[in-house]
Amino acid sequence: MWRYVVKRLLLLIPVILGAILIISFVLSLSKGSPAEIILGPGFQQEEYDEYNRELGFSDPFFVRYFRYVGNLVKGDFGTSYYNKTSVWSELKARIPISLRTTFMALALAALVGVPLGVLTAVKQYSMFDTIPTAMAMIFAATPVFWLGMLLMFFFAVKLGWFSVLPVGKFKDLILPTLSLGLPHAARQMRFTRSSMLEAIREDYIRTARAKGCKERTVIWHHAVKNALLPVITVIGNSFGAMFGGTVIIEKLFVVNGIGSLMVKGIGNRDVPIVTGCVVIIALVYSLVTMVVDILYAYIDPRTKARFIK
Amino acid sequence: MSKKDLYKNTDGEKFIETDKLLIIKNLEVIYKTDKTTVHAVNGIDLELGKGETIGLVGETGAGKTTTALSILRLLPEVTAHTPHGEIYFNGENLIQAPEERMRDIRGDKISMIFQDPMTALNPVYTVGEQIYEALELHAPEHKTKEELNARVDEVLKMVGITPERKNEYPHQFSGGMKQRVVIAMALACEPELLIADEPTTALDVTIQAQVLIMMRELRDRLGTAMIMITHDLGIVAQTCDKVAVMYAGEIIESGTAEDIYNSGKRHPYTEGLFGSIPDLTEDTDRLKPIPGLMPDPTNLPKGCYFSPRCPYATDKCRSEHPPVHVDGDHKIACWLFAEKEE
Repeated sequence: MWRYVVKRLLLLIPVILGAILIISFVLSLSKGSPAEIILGPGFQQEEYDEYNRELGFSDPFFVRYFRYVGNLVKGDFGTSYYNKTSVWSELKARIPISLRTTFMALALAALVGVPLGVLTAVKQYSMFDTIPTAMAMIFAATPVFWLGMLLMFFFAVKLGWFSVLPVGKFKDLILPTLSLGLPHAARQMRFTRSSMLEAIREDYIRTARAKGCKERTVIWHHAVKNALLPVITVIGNSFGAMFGGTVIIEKLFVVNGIGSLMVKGIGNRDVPIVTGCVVIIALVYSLVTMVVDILYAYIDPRTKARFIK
Repeated sequence: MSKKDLYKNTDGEKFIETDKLLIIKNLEVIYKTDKTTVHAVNGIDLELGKGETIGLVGETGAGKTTTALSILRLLPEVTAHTPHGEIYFNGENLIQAPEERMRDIRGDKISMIFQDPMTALNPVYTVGEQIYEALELHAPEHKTKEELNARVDEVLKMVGITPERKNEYPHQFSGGMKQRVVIAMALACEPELLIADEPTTALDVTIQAQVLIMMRELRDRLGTAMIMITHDLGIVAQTCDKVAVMYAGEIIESGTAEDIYNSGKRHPYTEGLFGSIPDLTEDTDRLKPIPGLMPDPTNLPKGCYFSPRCPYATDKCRSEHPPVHVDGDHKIACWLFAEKEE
């Protein structure tokens, strides 16, 4: 098992290198150099060339790429073009915020979505199925920004339970967690439901009943463990999607996470900031995928057999 | 009315005095969906003494498995209903028994072996864990973990698997070995009745023979009564004391193995079944299959259900349901024999 983990960790290296290559290439294609943005309209050509030289932006693409990778190996994410601060210090401040929001929203999504999915499958076609399923449809179809605005309107503006401008208390995390987590809860519920419906029709479920198992044991011991396998993948994907792709929620609830930093960086053509964010997101995503795969092997002996010889 | 209540009917008594292990009276099972009603089992009667083996023979869709599942009350809850019928197990009417009582009986007093060993075992638990679970559910409280684990080893040895393999998962076993595990699981609590639903259909022929011989030996050793569901008359001849032939949800002929195989009297359908087995002593190029298909269970024909395919069918067969002709243990539901009596 450990050999497999080490192998997967080593595989992270090409993934990260590839991610940097792609983002650097895309950024180098974009119109307008950083100097243009920073100097504003009406700059002198000499000033412009001087600035680009200083940033190292006048060097060829691959020179810049390898210089960046070389620095990264030493733990240096570079310096922001725009406000001359170290990129790592920006990232360091924002990673915990993003992780906290993601974990809370993910916990909400999984703790609501998975048990409801099991319930709706077991009670198929009853009230306990139709009501949650209808709710899930609504939440899955609601755009995140709209849900966020509605929540803010009702609970912060109308009812005054939360402050509109968060001050960093734990209470301030509740609305962003809800608006981020609920659509994912809906997705996970629907997925668990279909996976569970498949599992409870399997022959081994009938075998378990024929042994004299209680219905609760049949569902939670025999069916859920099998049904969870594909659900874990969906939960992992939710994590990746929540970690970097939540700019709207971050803007709406003034959460200073990775997503909003990256969008700001893109607006400023701030190459080191954007690349830094991409490296972190790619790293987190890859690590989550790895954890999902390991969990898979832990639950399913057939998968495990393929990893360990 | 809750779904569970639809299972039940109030026919007969809760308990009766009997020395028979299993008595089924006038059992009827339907599957009801929004559009159609499938008449899967249409009023069958069956008796089984302690330690006896009965072969339940018939084509696919004749209602054999439905009959077996209704004994354990494992029919799909939403669609299946039992509007009529009594099933007495040691004198206790299972149709009216509470669900908790059924859980005590399942796996302990009555066990079932399913058709496909490939899918009958849970892929995420070791075979040892799965056998242990069956034992633990029905073990008396004073039994320790060690005693139960020792019993797991014992039943594995009994079906010819080395106990060291108990920590392996189902995917590490071949089909025949998996069926042995399923049999071990079914026999772990030494049930009084074992229902084997085509236990060898999914296995190849050499493994079939091994498994059958093993089942026969274990049955004799443990004194378990058995219902052997099959469409293979050869298996019935090898293992069964009694035979019941099912067609379109009815038992159209029943009796001792001797009655069915050697007496001159046979239901035309049974005759057809024998006709479709290749005979080594006769020189023929073709088998003699029964022409036609089993009637649609949502729309059963009038009169005798076999009449559309029967070479001897008369107008009477097509309009009136046949009476049962009784000759000792041998029962045939056919007009052919009823008329001879008159």
